[in-house]
Amino acid sequence: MTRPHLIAKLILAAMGVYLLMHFLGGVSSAVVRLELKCPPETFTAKMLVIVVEAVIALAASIILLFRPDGLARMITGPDADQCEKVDVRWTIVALRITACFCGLLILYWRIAFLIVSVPAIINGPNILSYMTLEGQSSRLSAQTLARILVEVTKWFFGVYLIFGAPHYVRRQMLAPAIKKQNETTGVKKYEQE
Amino acid sequence: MSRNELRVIARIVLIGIGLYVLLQTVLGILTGVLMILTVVPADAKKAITITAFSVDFILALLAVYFLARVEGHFSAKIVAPEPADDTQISWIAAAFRLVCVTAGILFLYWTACSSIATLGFYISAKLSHAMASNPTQLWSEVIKCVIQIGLGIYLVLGAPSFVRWQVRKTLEQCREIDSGEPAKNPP
Repeated sequence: MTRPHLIAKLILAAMGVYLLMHFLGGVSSAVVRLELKCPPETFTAKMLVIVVEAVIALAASIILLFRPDGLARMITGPDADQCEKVDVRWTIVALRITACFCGLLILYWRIAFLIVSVPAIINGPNILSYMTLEGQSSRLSAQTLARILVEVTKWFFGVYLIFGAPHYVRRQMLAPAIKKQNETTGVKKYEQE
Repeated sequence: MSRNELRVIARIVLIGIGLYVLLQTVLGILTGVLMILTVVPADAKKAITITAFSVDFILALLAVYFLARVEGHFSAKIVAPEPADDTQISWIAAAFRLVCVTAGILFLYWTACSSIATLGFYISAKLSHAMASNPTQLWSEVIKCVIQIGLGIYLVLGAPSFVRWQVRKTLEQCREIDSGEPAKNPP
């Protein structure tokens, strides 16, 4: 991998993380919409927009995070192939640093959830309503639980990124080698047959 | 990558943050002035908004001045001199430290801005009344600010223990990938 490819891949990965958070935000908005009970005609249109946006964000984030090579090559152009190759260690460090920075940002923006969960733990019965920033309400609906699940997912995701996303980095580093190995074994099998 | 290159990168990032802070504040002030001229009606609220924006601007100027003055010291601290046989660890640590310092400065700036806005809101809504009506929310805001400022300071100081842990884990992962994992773990 050349240096321009690596930079493009890092930017695409960061965009992928951003879109994944956008997807989770979309899920949260859809849940809020369900709670608000708008008039049916506007409700359907708004929900459709939210769902379509969330699905596009999820699809784009999967492509950006797990299949960025083609896009990175398209962005950098053919001249980038002639640049000097980057050391494997540099690639690992760069991916881990990007993950760490994204994780720090996510945790900073979602810190409110942690804070509101402190009075929730003290207050006991109202725990779930506090965690969803609904104040003193004791109503526990499926929507509330869904919102908590979204918040917890965001936190989990942020912590995983702060840890340097080890599985993701390993996958990114080993994917080309595995592909090459599979191709070689495939050719060997074909020759044997 | 040489130490000088890393130092230049650190300098570019720090100056970039300074410019970002200044730009954000100028844009914030422009929006605030427009808001005062068009939306906010009461004189008291005007005074509070103007004060909040002035404090915001002074903070931004201080941040830029601080970054300009100590940028050399900062970049030298980020890319600390290491023993000659430890160059690899040196640049990995420097890169992580740079990310931590960048995140720390941004966190402190964002926290300062949001704290001023929240404080302005509570002063305009009379603090005692706000505390009586919703004390949990007020305390949540205070604790949130304290944690955010603490996190920001820790990161600005270079997050030594976190960087050390990250470097150790990164080197472990490098060794693991170098030792040829693909043959052992096919997908």
